[in-house]
Amino acid sequence: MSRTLTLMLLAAPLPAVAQGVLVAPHAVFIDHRTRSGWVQLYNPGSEATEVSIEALFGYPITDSIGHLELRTIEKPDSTMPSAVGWIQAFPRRTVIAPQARQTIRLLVTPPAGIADGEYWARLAITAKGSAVPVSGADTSQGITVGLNLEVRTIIPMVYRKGSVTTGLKVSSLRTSMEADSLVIRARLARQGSAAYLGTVRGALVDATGVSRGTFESPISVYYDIDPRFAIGTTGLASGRYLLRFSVTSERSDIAVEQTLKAATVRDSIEVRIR
Amino acid sequence: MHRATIPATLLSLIAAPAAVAQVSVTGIRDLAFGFLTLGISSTVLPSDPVKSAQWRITAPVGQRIQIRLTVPNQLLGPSGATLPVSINNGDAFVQGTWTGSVPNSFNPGSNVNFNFTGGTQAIIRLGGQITPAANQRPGTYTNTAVCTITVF
Repeated sequence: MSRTLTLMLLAAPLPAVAQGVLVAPHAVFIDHRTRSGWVQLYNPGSEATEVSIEALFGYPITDSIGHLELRTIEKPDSTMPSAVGWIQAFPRRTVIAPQARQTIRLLVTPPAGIADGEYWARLAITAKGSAVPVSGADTSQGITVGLNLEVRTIIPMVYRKGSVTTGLKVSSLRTSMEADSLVIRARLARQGSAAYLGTVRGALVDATGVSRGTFESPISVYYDIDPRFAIGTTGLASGRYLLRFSVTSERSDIAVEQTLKAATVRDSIEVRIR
Repeated sequence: MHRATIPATLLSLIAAPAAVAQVSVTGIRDLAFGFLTLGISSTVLPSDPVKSAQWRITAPVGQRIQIRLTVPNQLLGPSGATLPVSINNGDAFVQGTWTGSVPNSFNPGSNVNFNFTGGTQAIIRLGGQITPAANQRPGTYTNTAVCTITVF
C-alpha cells in the first residue's frame, strides 16, 4: 500500500513553483555627489528565494547580423571606464521570503582624483530557489531526476562625475528584405564622454506621404554599434517608399533626469518594395 | 565586542520610490520528462504545454533584452554517475503573450534578442531529451539550468 502510494506521488504532475525575482529599476544611475543608489527586489513566488548581487564590466555590442549582445570583460584595463571595483552592495546575499521585498543599497567608492566622466558596470542579480524535481521516476529502478532553476538579471549601472556629454552620429543607413520584413541597419557612433541612451524610430512613407509602417526601439550606445530593426511589409503595395530614420535622446523607461540631452539625428533612404 | 560599522552615506539614502520601470524573470514550471524507462529516451518538445520548462519575463513595453539559457548536458547522480540530457537547437522558444506575437525558436546555447513590442510579458519554453542507460545507477540525478536576462 505504502509503496503504491509512493510511486503515485512520484508520477503525479508537479505543482508550478515560481522562482525568480523582480528587479527595479532596470537601470541604476549614481552621481558622484551622492555616491549611492539602490535596487529593489521582490520575490513573487511562493517559496523563499536566495539572491546574490555581483558587479561585472560589460557593454552592448552588435554581432554580424545586428543583434545586440553583452560583451563582458573579466579584467578591464585602465583604459576602460569600469566602476566594477568601486561598488559595494548591502546586503550582497540575502534570502527573500515569499512575496516580500528587499532593498539593496549600493555604495560607490571611487579612487580619489578620478577624471570627470561616466563609468560603467553591470549588476548581476542571481536568484535561486529550492531544488525542483523535474521528472518522474523510474519506478522499478528508483531513479529520480531534478533540475535546479536559477534566474539571473543583468542591469546597467552608470556612475557620473562632473560634466558629461553625449551624442550620436548615424551613418551607413541601409535596408534589405528578409521574408515579410524590411530589415533596417544603421551604424550608430557615440559622441561625447557618456553612453547615449535614446530611442530609435523609423517610418516607411509612401509616395503620397502616408506612413505605411513604423518601428520604435530603445537604444543604448556605449561604443559604436550597428543594430538591426524591422518593419513588416505584409500587405504593402509594390513601389518606392522613403524610410525616415531618427534617434532621440529620450527613453520612456528611464526618468528624464537620468538621460543626457543630445540633438536629434535624422537620416532617410529610398526603399523599393517588390 | 566588535560591531560592524555602516557607512554614513548609506544612512542618508532615501526610501525607494514604488513606481519605477522593472524587469523580472521567474521560473514557472520545471522540465517534466514523466516516467523514465531504462534504455529508452524520453523527449519533451518546447511546445508541450504541460511538460516543457517555462520561464516568464516581464519588462516595459518597447524594452529590448538579451536572453541566454545555460543548460547542462548531463545530470549528476550518485557516486559520480551521470545521466545525459540533450537540449539542442530548436529546443527553446520565446514568445510575447500579446495578440499577434509568434514563437521565436532559438538555440539554448546562444543568445537571442527579444523586443517587448506589444506588451509587458513573454514566456520562454524549453524542451529536451533524456536517455537513461539500460544499466543506469539508481539514485537522484540533478543539475542547474540558468536563464539570464540582460537589459541593455
